[in-house]
Amino acid sequence: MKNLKIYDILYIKFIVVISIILIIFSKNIVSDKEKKAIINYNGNEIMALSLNENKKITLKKEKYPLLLDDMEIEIKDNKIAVIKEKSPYNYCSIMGYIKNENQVIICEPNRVIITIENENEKNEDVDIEVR
Amino acid sequence: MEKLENKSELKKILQMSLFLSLSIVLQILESTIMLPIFLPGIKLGLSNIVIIIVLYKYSLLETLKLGILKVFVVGLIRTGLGLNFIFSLVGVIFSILVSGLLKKTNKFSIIGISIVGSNFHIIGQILVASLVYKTKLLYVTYLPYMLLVSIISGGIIGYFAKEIMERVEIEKY
Repeated sequence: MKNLKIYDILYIKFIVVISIILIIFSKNIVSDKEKKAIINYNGNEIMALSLNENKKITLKKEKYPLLLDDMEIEIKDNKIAVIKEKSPYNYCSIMGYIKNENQVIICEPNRVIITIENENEKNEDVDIEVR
Repeated sequence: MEKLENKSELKKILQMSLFLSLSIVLQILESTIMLPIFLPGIKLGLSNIVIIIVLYKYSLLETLKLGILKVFVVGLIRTGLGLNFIFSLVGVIFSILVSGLLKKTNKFSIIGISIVGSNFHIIGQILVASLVYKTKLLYVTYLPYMLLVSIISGGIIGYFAKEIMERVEIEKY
């Protein structure tokens, strides 16, 4: 420690405090917030919804003509499900609520696919080097 | 040759090119060593020993030239002039500028200056990465850990530089 001057120590303390604040901040904020449900219609992404707020969405047949009928999607407690749709076997409403990135809802006759993406994990392969 | 009549000018150019090649060799050597740390991209930054010595022996401007040339040459022979090159370039410019300016205040030791440099290297890179990937998340998920680790790596590099400058006589031309 005899090699360090008083300003060095002050600077190091400052950076350590800032880092700890940022870490605490990230623990509170980042965890679930960045999970998003991506709704694909006919191969195109039409919506990206945060899983944090509960809400219901209706995809209208007038707007999306390939739907067999209006489709209702619900987000509840960080989970997403198709609650009402018209199809021969109703597979996609039977699927129920999904919440993880490895789950997917496919409503094939309606041409709708719902996937979940995690923004955090997307960024993990950013390549940064310390020199 | 008239310009080089002054022998010290020639000696300075030779010495700077030696420093440059030394830093390039150190950096390439280092990229073959993997540190077993949980964070991706952690490196000691051996080539920055040279940068710090030059910063102390010569001026901020000389160091900036050396740093930019180093990144450019390493980019040409190792990583290519892509995204990695831009990250390195911004990181080097940030770190040399900030540490060079703080050095002028004479309030920090070599080790302190080295820590400042490695901190701002990270900050510069994360600024660019956040712009490129259009996310603010890196500031909270990556930056704090990198800052803490870079205090340690910067400290080690600064200590090396200090010891070298005490033991080896480096003439300034």
